Amino acid sequence: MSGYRQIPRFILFFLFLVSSLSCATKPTIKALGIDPGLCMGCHIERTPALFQAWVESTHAKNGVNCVTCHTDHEAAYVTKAMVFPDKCGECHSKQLEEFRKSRHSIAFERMRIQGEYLGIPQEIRSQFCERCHIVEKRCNSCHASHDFSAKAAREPEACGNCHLGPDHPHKEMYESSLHGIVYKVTQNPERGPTCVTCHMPGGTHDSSFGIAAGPVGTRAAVVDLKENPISTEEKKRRREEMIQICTTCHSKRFASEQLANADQVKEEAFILQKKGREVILGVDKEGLLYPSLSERSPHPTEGRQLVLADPQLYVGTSHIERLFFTMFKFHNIRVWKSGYHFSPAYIHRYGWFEMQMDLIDIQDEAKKLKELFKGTNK
Amino acid sequence: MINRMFLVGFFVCFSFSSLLGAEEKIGECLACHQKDTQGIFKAWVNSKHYKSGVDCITCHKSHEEAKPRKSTVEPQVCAKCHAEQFEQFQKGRHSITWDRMKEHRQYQTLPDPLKRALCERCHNIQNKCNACHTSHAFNPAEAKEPEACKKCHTGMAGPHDEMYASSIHGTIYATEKNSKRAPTCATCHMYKGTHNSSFGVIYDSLGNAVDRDGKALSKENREKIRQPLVQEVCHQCHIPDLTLERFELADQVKNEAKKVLAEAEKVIRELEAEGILPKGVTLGQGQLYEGTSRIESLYYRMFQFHNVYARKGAYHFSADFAHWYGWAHLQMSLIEIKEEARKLRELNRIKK
Repeated sequence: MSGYRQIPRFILFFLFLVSSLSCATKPTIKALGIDPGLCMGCHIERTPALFQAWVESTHAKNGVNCVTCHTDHEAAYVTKAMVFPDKCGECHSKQLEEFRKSRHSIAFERMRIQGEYLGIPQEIRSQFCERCHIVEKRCNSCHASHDFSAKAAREPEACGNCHLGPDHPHKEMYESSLHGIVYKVTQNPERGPTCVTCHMPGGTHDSSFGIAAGPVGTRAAVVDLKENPISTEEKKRRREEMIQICTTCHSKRFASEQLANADQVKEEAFILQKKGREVILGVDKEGLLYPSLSERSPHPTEGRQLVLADPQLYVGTSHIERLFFTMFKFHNIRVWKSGYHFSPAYIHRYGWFEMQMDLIDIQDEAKKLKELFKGTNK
Repeated sequence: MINRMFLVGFFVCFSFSSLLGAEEKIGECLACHQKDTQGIFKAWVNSKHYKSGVDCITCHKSHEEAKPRKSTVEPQVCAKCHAEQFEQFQKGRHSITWDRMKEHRQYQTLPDPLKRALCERCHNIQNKCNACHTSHAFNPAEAKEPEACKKCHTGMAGPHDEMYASSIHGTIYATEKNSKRAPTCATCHMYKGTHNSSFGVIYDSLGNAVDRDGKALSKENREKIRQPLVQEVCHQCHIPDLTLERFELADQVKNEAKKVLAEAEKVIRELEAEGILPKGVTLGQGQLYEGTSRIESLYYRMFQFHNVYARKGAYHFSADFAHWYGWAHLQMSLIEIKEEARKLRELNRIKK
């Protein structure tokens, strides 16, 4: 945008008047006096609700307007109006720095090398994985455009936009925990914690604060942003960090015990998962997987080897592997993550119970495969 | 203080006198119904109907007439005052839900008590304005909340509410409670208060591009239907080019899902050809969830549930539904169908 600043102010002011008078029901320009340049000439008509959200935002009050973030029309058009965190970091540098320490800041990059992502037809990937993993490149994943409300971003529903559903029902776990229930009935984060109380305490944008397990839940090892396993000392330090938050309401002893109990739940879940895995390894040894590893398309990142658990695919495998996919991807994650989120319904009914049922299915499938196909070459 | 007491006194007298006024007008109804059904009576007293002088007999006519029809008031009665809304309603698919249900094979197979408790509870919207504007407040503000639509548009067969709640639209509405900031169901589907809830919608519940009466829509007509949605509704926040691109991406998800279904159907049709399944099994539209083979029931789930989640999840911009509940489950079901076919073949070979 080079030209707009040269346009005399009175013309811009006239533009304001014309657009506001010509449409009495259109957004009121409370922000009169702030200069978003030529943008408003069209956007007050073309995207009025977005414009109004900006008018009511803290940005507008502080003189942050269209061109502050979008630079100019040409630049905005090319990037489809996307504004990247580096831009926001020009003012919100502390938040950007914190954000860079979190797993949110590697979400897109990690997704792009994930087998499951690569297994999805290219044209439709943007409708699936990218919609959430884009958080790496979009502050407005949580601070929705164009009011970028910090208050709204603190509500559990804001996190629930991505953290829900079969593969990681954090929202559902939280809502069925005592923490979530107290918040729901009181709407007071000092009575019952919200997601950010524990994961972004004091407003830190390092959402990986205090996490000593995970990250993705399908692997037992705890890794840092570069995928290197973290040391026992670091793990202890992170746990201590989290316990500090719990002590707002709970004794240190109680909080430590509860988290240690969750560690035990996690261990049990992985022992159970291993049982399923061993059955399948046995089936593979007898050459009974259909389609066999040589008959199917190679795994995008692992090639022609048997992949059980992350990054296992849900496409084109044998049925017994698909049963295991459900076990590790949907059900194990419910058991162990709900352990840390204190949702008995998710640990037990939706998690542990389902894992046990998966194991029965896997064992039964192995039996059928042996009875029907052993020595038949099919 | 005295002022306040005066005001309170004034309101008490005012409401009492207006209650008495109502009592005279609707005669005998109130004598019993103030006690017997006091919940709906109170709702009516606080309603706009009450303020405008619309009382029991305006809609229910008389006690004798109301009783045999269990007090049902058909849309035609509401239309005497709300003609515009009724006319709009008649253009949308809500106005054919009961007729279509009656023709549906699955409905016909159900025992009568189940028909009433299951399908009819939602499909009666064709005959009941109070499906959305609940009795006896009939409050448009309530009917505009996403939860009002949720009563029917939730769960296995059509989790529209869940898709909306997990989209960025639903997220913003949940966190800011402002329908100017983010759309509710009514913002897009009942734009500017139209009661044609099929506004902007190209596909029927099965994903066929047809109009309300089942007639195929030409490409031009499809564009004509989508245009006002993109140009008028979405443009409140989004630029038309980008919006159209989003819809076209969703169209692609729909097509890709269809391909997975076709692959599954092929597996089942091959079994038919080999004589392992009887000839001419119904797959997809018109398929029943009972009395079929297991492999057909696997297809039923794919068609009726996973396919719907992938497609409708994409149009509602819920990655969770489009991907995990939809696409991923379609793929997993395809694996299961292929394995089931292999076992059926082997068992058939052993039997011979």
